[in-house]
Amino acid sequence: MMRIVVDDRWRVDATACLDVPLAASAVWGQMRDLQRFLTIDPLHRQVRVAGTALSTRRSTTGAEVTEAPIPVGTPLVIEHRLFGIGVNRRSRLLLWREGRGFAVSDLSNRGDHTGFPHVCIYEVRPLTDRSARLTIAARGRWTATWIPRWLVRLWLAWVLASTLSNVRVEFRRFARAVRRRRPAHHPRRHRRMAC
Amino acid sequence: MVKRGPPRCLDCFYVLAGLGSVVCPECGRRFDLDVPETYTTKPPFVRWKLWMPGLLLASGFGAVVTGVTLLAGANVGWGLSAAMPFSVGALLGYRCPTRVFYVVLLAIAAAILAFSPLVALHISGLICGLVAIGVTIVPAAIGGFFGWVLRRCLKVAAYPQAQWLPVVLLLMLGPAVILAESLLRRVDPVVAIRTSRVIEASPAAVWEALRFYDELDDPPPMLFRLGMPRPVETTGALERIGDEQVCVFTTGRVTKRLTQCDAPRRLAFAVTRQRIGFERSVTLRGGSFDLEPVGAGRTRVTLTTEYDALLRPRFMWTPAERLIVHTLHEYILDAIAPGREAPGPEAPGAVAVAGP
Repeated sequence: MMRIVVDDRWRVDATACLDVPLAASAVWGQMRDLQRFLTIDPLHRQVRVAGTALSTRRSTTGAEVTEAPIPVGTPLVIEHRLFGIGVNRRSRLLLWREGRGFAVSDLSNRGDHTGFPHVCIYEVRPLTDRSARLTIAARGRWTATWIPRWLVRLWLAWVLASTLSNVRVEFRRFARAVRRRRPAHHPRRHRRMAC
Repeated sequence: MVKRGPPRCLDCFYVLAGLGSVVCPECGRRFDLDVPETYTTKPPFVRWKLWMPGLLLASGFGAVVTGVTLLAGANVGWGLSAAMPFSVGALLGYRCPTRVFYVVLLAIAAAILAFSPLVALHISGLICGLVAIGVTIVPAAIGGFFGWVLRRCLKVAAYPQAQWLPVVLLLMLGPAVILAESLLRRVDPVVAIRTSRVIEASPAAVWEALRFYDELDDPPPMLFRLGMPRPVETTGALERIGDEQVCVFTTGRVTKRLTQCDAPRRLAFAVTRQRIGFERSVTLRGGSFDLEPVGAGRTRVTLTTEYDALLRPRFMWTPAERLIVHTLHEYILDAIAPGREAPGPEAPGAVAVAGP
């Protein structure tokens, strides 16, 4: 399901929902890798933590692993690219609800009121014990008002549709990898993806 | 490229960073961030995602550029023979983050995939297509290795445009060389290929056999059964200087004119018209039979075929051309060897394969 609203004051509310045949906890287990999950958006090539590095620790073999999820308020840099061309935009983790979802801002480097400032919200909630609903939303204000509204809606629809498609592929791939990884006797080994 | 990320559960890939416990909340497996064996930092992935997109990009790009170039009437030169397969291989090597051995194998597969549609679409014959695939495999493999090295170097250097810029440059390499080549003036070299054999017969007997060789209907060699033009019939006879003979093939016809007839020493002819399907590869000029006595009852027969070589670079195509022409010469020499019976008039000319 997809809903895109661009009102007369150019406020944008674009929301898409996807039912995933996986437990909400499993979906959240993948969403917790915030830097990777944000790149599911077709325009987000890479997400980096700006300035200070994340808290990491070295294991006994010297491998560096992230100790904690990104704290709320951490500044991020989102590399926006389309066919290799694009800009880096600044961002911040605004909200983190363990097991539920998170939200990040997506702002232009030129200022808070230019270049479509918006917030991306990712939320998961259980439908049954074996399925979950993932909601992806972008809310903000469209600033390039010389572009016709229908074209803006079309653009947002493409971005959301591509994001949903990427989510489907990502979780299908995840389910396949888990099936291969789990031992034969594991109770969830034979659960198949059908999204 | 697989990037290292946060620790994940070995069973269910749940992201374990920042959890208060030492047990995966999804599957219950224990982990210890100090012990790397108890978790993985690789995100879940399927293997074909590593190589399939690169293979499709490289082979699809190669097939489209090669097909369009040939349909546009361009000749096969450095661009199509070397730069394009190199570009296809390099694209693969750059886009497939796998071992160098598999990269080279995939590059070879991409070269095959890129040139196979030419055969399937009848842009090129089967033999020419197979030779093209054979010729392009080496630059494709070298390109694959180059792409692999480039990817590793740019990864170490953390080059910010590594995702797209090299891909765009590699995509432009082949077409750029093809375009540059089409703008340059080219001179096609005349190639003469000779095959000699000593036959246990006098020059006069061999000369007599020469008159009949066009009418033998032995099955042609395997090489010629794999898609080379096969003769259907021959009209006209080469008896006096200026006589013309038309050899009809499955794919067209070749017209020959007798230019020299010095019995029993030399028979030479020129090809005046060629429309047989490989005009893009060679332009036949002519051929000759030279007979030389080498002792009692023995004759050295030398067959010569002359043509304008249109395929570049020469060092890549020459071996294949020599193989094909020598095979044809051997077939003709077999046909004119003594002891064979001349066929009846109902047998169509079977060996008039574009001369020698």
